[in-house]
Amino acid sequence: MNSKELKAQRVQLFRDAENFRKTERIPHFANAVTWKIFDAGHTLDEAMTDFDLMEKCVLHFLDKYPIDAILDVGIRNQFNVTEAFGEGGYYYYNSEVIGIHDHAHCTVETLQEYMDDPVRYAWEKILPEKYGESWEKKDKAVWKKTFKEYIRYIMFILHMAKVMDRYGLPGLSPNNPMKGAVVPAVESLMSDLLGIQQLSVAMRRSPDLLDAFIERWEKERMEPIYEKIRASKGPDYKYCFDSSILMLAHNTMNKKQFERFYWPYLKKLLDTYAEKGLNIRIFTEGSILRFAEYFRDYPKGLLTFHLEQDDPFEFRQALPNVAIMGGMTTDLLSNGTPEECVAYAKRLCDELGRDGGFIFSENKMLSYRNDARSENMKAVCDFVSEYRI
Amino acid sequence: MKSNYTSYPEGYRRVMRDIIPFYMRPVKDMLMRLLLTILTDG
Repeated sequence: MNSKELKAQRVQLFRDAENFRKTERIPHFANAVTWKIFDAGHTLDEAMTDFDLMEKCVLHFLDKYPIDAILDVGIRNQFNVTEAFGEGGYYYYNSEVIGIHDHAHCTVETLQEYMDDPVRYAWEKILPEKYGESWEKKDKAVWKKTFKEYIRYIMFILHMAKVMDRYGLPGLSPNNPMKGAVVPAVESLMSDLLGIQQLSVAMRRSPDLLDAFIERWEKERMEPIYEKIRASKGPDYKYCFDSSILMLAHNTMNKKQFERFYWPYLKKLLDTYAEKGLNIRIFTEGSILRFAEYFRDYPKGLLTFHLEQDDPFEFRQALPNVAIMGGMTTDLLSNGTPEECVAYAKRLCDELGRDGGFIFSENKMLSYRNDARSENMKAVCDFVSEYRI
Repeated sequence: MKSNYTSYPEGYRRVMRDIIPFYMRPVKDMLMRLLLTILTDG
C-alpha cells in the first residue's frame, strides 16, 4: 500500500469511528506536541527556533510510534517570527517548559473599538503595549527580518504537510493556521481579547456589553463561516474531521452564563454543521460533563468530543450519541508500567469502541518531559495499532 | 529615533509597500493579517 492509499484508509477508519460504524481496529490520533522533542533527546530551547531539528524530532516520533494521525508536526509554538520582531511576548519557553501568560488585548469597554478595525487596534493599542518603548523603534530592517522569518515559517508548514503525506497521515481538519479556525466569540474573549480574569468579571458586571460584542462577532465573523458551511458539498475525506473546535471558556461559566453567552451561538454552529451531515471534533478542555444535557439531541456522527478531564466511561453513559476521542491519561502514561498502560488501553478499546464511536488518543496534549514515559507510549501505540476487536 | 512605521494607517501602509515583495502583492492583505495575528499572539 502506498502512502496515498494508506492515508485514504486511515481517513476512512476515522470517519467510520466518528459515525459509530464498527471498525476492524481502533484508530489512534496522537495528541503529541512538544513531548516529541524530549523523546528525541533534545530540549525545548534547542528545537523551538530550529526547523531542521524540529523536523528531526517529528520524524523520530513518526518512525518510532505507529499512529494514524497526529495533532502537531512541529508547527505549533513557533518563536522565530516573534523573536525576530524583538523582545516581549505572551508565550514563553525555556529548556523544559512552554507556557502562556494570561493576557488581554481589550477591556470590556474597548471591544467595539477592536471590532471597528482590528488592524488599527493592533497597530495602535496591542503592539505598542506589548513592545513598550521599543515599538517606536521598529524600523524597516526589523519588519523585513520578521517578514523573512514569517515566510520561512509558512514554507516549513508546507514542507511538513508533505512529510505527513509521505507517512500517509491525514490532517485533523481543514482548520489550520493558514486558513483560520472556527472560534466562538467567548473563546476569543477568553484566550486573548479579555483573558480569563476580565471575562469572568465582565459576565457578572457588564453582561450587556458582552452581549453586544458577541452579537457583532456573530454577524461579522461567524456569518461568513455559516455561509461556507451551507455551501459545502458534505464531508471532505481529505481530513479526519470537517471541522475542529476548541472549548475552554465553558469551564469559567455557570449554566445560566453558558445559556446566555455560549450555547445559543454554539448551537447555531452545530445545527448548521448537522444540516450538511458533517463530522465535527470538539476538544473539550477541562470538563464538559456538566453541560451534557445540551448535546443529547444531536444525531450520531455529528459530534466527537476529545475529552480532557472527563471520565470516558461516564461520558459514554451520559452522551451515547457523541463519539469519544481520548481516554488514555497522561497520568498513567507518565506513572504507570507498560503492562498497566496496555491493560487500560485494551479496556478503552473493548468498552468504548466495539460498535464504533471511539478514537484512541491521549487526554492532554503531550507537551512536557514527564507527560509520558517512552516505553509506555511505545507499548500503547504498538498495542492499539495491532489490536483487533 | 522614532520609526516611520509606527503610526496608523501610514506606518501600516509603509510596511505593506516596503516589506512585502511585489510577487506576493495579490495576497499581501492576508499575509499581513496573519503576521499581525502572530505578532499579537492573537
